[in-house]
Amino acid sequence: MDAELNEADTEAELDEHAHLAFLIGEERYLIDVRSIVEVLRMPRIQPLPDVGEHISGVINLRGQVIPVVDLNIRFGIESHTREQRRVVMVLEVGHETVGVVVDKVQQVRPLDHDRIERDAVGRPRVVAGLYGEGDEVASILDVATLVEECRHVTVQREEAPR
Amino acid sequence: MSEDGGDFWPFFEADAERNLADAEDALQAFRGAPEDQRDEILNALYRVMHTFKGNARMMGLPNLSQLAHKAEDLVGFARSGRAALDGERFELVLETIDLFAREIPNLVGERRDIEGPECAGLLSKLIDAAHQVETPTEATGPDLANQAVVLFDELPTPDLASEPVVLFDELPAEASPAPPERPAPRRPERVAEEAPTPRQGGSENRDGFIQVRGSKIQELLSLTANLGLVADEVLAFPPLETLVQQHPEMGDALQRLRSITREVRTASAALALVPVGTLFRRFGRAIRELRRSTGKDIELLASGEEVEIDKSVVDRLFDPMLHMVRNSADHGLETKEERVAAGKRPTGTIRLEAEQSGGEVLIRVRDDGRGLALERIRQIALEKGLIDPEYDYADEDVARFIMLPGFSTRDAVSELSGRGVGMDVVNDMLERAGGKIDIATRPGQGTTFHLRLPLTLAFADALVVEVSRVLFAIPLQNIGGVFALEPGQLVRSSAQGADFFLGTDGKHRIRRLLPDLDRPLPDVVVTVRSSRGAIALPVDEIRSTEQLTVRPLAHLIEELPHVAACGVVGTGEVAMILDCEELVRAA
Repeated sequence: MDAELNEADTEAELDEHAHLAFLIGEERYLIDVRSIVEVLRMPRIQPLPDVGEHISGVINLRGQVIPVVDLNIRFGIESHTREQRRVVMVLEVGHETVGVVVDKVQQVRPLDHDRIERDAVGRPRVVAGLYGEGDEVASILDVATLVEECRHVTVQREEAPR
Repeated sequence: MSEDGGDFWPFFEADAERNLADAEDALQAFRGAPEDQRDEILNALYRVMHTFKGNARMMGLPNLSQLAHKAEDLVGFARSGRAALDGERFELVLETIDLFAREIPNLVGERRDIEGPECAGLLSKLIDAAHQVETPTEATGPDLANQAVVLFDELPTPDLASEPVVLFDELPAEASPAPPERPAPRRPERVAEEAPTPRQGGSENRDGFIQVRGSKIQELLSLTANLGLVADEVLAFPPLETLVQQHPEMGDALQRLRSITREVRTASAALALVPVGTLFRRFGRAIRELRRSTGKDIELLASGEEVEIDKSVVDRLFDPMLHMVRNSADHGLETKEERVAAGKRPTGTIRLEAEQSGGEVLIRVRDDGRGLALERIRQIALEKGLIDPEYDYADEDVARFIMLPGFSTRDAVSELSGRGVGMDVVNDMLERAGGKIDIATRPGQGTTFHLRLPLTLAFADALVVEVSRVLFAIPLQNIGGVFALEPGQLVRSSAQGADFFLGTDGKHRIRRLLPDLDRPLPDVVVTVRSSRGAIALPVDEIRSTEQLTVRPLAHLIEELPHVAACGVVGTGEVAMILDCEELVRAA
């Protein structure tokens, strides 16, 4: 995993529209690297009272208290990765900082605009578009919407995107 | 010169606002003051007028400075006993200050001097009034008044830097009714360098004051917070124990590190505290305007002005409080005729009260008006589908409905006398300042807004407990006691649908922090007190008593019920700091 993280660090600088690919269960997602502050090995997450199931809790990142959302639970995708092997991506959108737990981060790469499908039928709001690569399809996450949806943590979560 | 002053405008405005508020207070007090107190009030008034004049001059605003100068002269005559401040002279000074208060925001907005017929007319009246008193060539009053003017007339002289301070200390006004005045800014550069900091420690000797830029204090606070976190981390490092066993003197050093860190935190947090009076005084002008616009007799009373509170909290309080005061004046208070008909005093009263309670400051905005139309509020909330029709809400809850988003509409406004307007916004603003609001109202007797605000936003002393793996911090001032739950102390009341803990300090309703009813009750309870009574919280484990570094709840999680903020504990873990007032209220 370390090799993958380092790879992510170096390649991130190659293209400002680079995206980081990561896995939730077996599904591949892409996220604009510009919204990623850092990627952490699974830190100690402290549970919160009275919050939705998809909110794992909070982490103390050098004194800053950041809420953490479990994307597997948020999207209703079972995780097969051991808890300690999972990672937290710290994202920043506007003034909000949020951590998201995912199963595995893969690599950073620039996207080919011709292969982005933005008008996919039945696309949930949190997916900005689909990205076709060979016979695989990855979902491009709309980070702002993701953060926005997490805002009301005490409210029941919406339908998982499929 | 006004171009040079470009960057100083905000400072000028802040200073002017304070000085004018002080001047208004002094004038207000002067009118009814007994003879023996009038000198002190005059001195205070003279000081603020003088400061204001100097500031205006330094900003390159001759007209403003001239007006202030002439009004100051009238006050000076009274101080020197040459002509009492009464009749036309009093009115002229009042008029000048009113004009300033009205115009300053515009002047600052447009970065210009005051001008126009009103200004010219007033100036000539001031000059005339002064002329009547003045014997043109010699001034026989005490030197001080003239000395001050002379000093400032010599501006700018390089060696003047420390003069105003000395000058003011010589003023024979040790116990002025207005709090100690900060010295006049010395040169324009200084005005900019020194963000206007509020006077600290209302009643202290003003010799002890220095001005510090607010951002420097913020920086220090933030560094102190980090220092505290690192010290906690070091002290919690497990191998230290072995080390201390080998070198006992290390134990002492570590203990000192712990206590000094704590003291540094407390002391630096205190730097940012200012007396609430600085806030209250800003309402004097608002009330005068409201008197004018409503035609009602309104008096504004303040108490607890010496209570101190975090500057950043104070800064965020004025707008929401002004909203409440306006509501009270416009709609809460009845007209003179209505009041007399109801057998009340013709003059309506709005009170601003402050009081410290543990780590909180309680502020009340209280009027003796007609009270909220609770029945109508209930109806409107129902019509709008904002509340559960089945539930029997207490009056106190009904009053809170006016703060529900979406409650206020135009028809609600007219029917409820505007109480709903923007109250949800007021609530938001207060919450952003870390505060909470409650409303108490009695028909025919008035309405009180209770604001609860944190004393400081930086640190909190709290008992850290664990419940189902979640860490909670209970502020020490809310702790009644910690008890082992013995058999026989637990009383189940199916009638009330609740369990009670029979402690040595009484019978407390048991409230579970987390809703897991399947688990048996833990065998430790902490009794938690608030202004509304006490409850008992069962906890799995008592962790420690700590000074937590308070961190705001991330926006994403700010809606947690009964949680005021997060705090980072010594181990680096995050604890939820309980809002005990809210917790007890909801129990």
